[in-house]
This record gives sequence, C-alpha cells and structure tokens, in this order.
Amino acid sequence: MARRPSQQTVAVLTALGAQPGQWRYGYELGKEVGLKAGSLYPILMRLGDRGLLESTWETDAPPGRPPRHLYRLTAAGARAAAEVAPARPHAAPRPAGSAA
Amino acid sequence: MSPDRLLSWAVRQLPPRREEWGRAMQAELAALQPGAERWRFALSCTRAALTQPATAKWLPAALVVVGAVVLAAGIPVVSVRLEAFAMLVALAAVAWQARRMGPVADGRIARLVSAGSLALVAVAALVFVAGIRRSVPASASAQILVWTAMLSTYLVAATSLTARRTAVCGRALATGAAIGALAAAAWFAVVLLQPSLPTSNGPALLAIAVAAVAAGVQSRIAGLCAAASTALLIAVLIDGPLRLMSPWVATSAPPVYPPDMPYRLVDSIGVWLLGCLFAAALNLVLLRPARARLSRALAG
Repeated sequence: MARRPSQQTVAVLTALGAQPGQWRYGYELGKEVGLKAGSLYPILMRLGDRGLLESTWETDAPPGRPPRHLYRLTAAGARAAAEVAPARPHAAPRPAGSAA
Repeated sequence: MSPDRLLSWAVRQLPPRREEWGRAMQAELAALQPGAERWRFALSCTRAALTQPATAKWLPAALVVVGAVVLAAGIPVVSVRLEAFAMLVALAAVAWQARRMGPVADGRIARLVSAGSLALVAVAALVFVAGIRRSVPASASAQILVWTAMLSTYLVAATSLTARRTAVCGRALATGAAIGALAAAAWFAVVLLQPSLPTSNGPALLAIAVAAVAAGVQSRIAGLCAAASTALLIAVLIDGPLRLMSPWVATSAPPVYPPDMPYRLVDSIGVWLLGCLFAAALNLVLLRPARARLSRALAG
C-alpha cells in the first residue's frame, strides 16, 4: 500500500486476516470490527479496488432471500494484513465472529 | 417508505462499476430481521452510496436548485415570480424523469459529456432567471414558457445521449462532443479577434453547420450531437462571457444604444432554438428504439 491505512481499514484487514481462507459477509464483519455499514462498505470497495479483497456470492442462500456477497483477502491482502496487524494489535475489539 | 425502498433508491444512484456493491448491501438488508436494525443498516448503506465520489453529483445539482430558487424569489413581479418557480419545478421534474433512462454509461467520455452538458443547461437556467430578476420584460411569461421547453429538451438529450440504456457508442459521443467544442471554441476565438461577428447569427450558424457536417461523416448521432453542442456552447458564450466583456453590449440592456460601445450582441434566441431543434432530433433518434421495444413488449 502506498500510504498507511486508516485505523478502520486496519481493523477490517486484521479481522479478515485472522481467518484468511474463510469467506465472510458484510453485516457480521461490520459487527465484529465495530463499524457501521456506511463505513465498512467503502473500505471493502477500496480494498477490492486495490486487489486486496476478493468477493463471491453465496451459493446456498435459503429460499426467499437473495444470496449475500462474501469476502476474503487475496494473497496480496493477506500480506497487507500481516504487515499492518503487528503495528496495531488492538486496532478494534474482536469478539468471536464467524463466517457465513 | 421502507428500508428496502430507501436502499433501492440509493443503490440506483451508484455508478455502474459499483452496482455489485449495491446488490451486496441489498442482500445483506434482506437477511436482517424486521426492526430498527434494518433501518439503521439501510440508512448507513444509503450514506455510503450517496457519498461515493462518483455518486456525489447530487451536491452541485442541489446547489444549482437552491441558487435558482433564491434568484427566482427576488423577481419583483409576483406573477412572473410564480411562473419562474413553476419553470424550476418543471425542469426538476424533467431531470428526475430523465434519470429513469438509467445510469450514465461506462467510460470517461460519457461521464464528461453528461456532466458538461448538464452544467451548461444549469448555467443557462441560472443566467435566464437572473436576467428576468434584473429586468422583467413584458414578454416574461412567453419567455419562461419557451425556455422551459428548450432547457427540458436539452436535459432529455443530454441524459439520453449518455445513458447506458441508449448505448450510444463512445466514438460517436466523443466525435460529436469534441467537434462541437472545437467549433464553438473556434467561433469564440474568431469573435475575440473580430468583435463585429456576434452582432449577427450568421457566423454562429456557419459554425453549427460545419460541426454537424464534420461529425456527421462519422455517424448521424455524432452529427446531431456536434450541432446541438456547438449551438449550446455558442449561446451560453453570447449570454454569458461576451455580455461581461467591454467591447460588447447585450441586446436588451441598456435600452439606449450607447455610441461609444459599437458592438451590440445578437439576440441568442435563434441559436438557442436551432440547438434545441438538433437536441429534439437527437431525442427522436435515440428514444425511438426504446419506444418501439416498449410497444412490441406491450403488444406481445
């Protein structure tokens, strides 16, 4: 990354980097890092634009509900998460959260 | 209003490249149980959608509306003031309806042409209302009616020309806009060297014709786009910068011809009307396939 990411971005990277292979969905990720959707989604968009985040759509959504968008870090994203995580180990509260 | 409808509206404001993120927000909302949390989530997502750099175009539009309302509120004649307000409401309604054609097409050219043409229409509306406020002409009612129709036609043309749904190819758009801008710039440059030129519509008509033919070689849409944009730019130049420059005086004010100011600008309404005709032709060409599809769908 060209410049130091914000504390909120670090929190998202750290949360995603804790379970690098697992797909996560936005609402629960926001709850985990303590960010509202209005802050979380722009961060996810920027991470996606920079190639640090990959996304897919839920394949086993129950009937009557549209599939959700799922996210996980790319290899570059995992490296970025590893770089920033030690510098700010307490960037955000991390209650136990799970993936979709 | 429900959280789903609010978010659905906000998501429609997103640029095409962010559509997937809009659907992601909607899917998350659909997974939430009814209650305050759904509203909080929808409001927060709405904020995210509307503050995206490419979405925040509503801010200049809001400033234009506020500016126009403030200008119209200062019109001294009550009946004309009310007609000016009606004009602004009509233009806002047309702009709102035109948005139903969908988001601006992908690509920098479409976004640039859309923003530029809408800005020109906004400037024209503000200049017109400011002129009425400064001096209410006897024909104010008729002028307001004509300008409402002209600016509405331009609004629809600007939106349909750059909407993704009408699928005007980027090359035609770029050719039309670039040749239109070049023709207007050439007219302006010549006018600065020869100040007697804008005292007649002739040179402006020539510039419009040359632009239409030059771009028309590429395609009919490019030709119409070039003609409409040349006329729009020249008309705005006559009504705006030239009136403020010392060698020229406006057609309507001061009422007495000052002998020390030899160059009296031509009334730009001819150029406006001609440009409007080209814009209307553009609308016919662009919207006919959409109407035909709708008719076929209704018949089938």
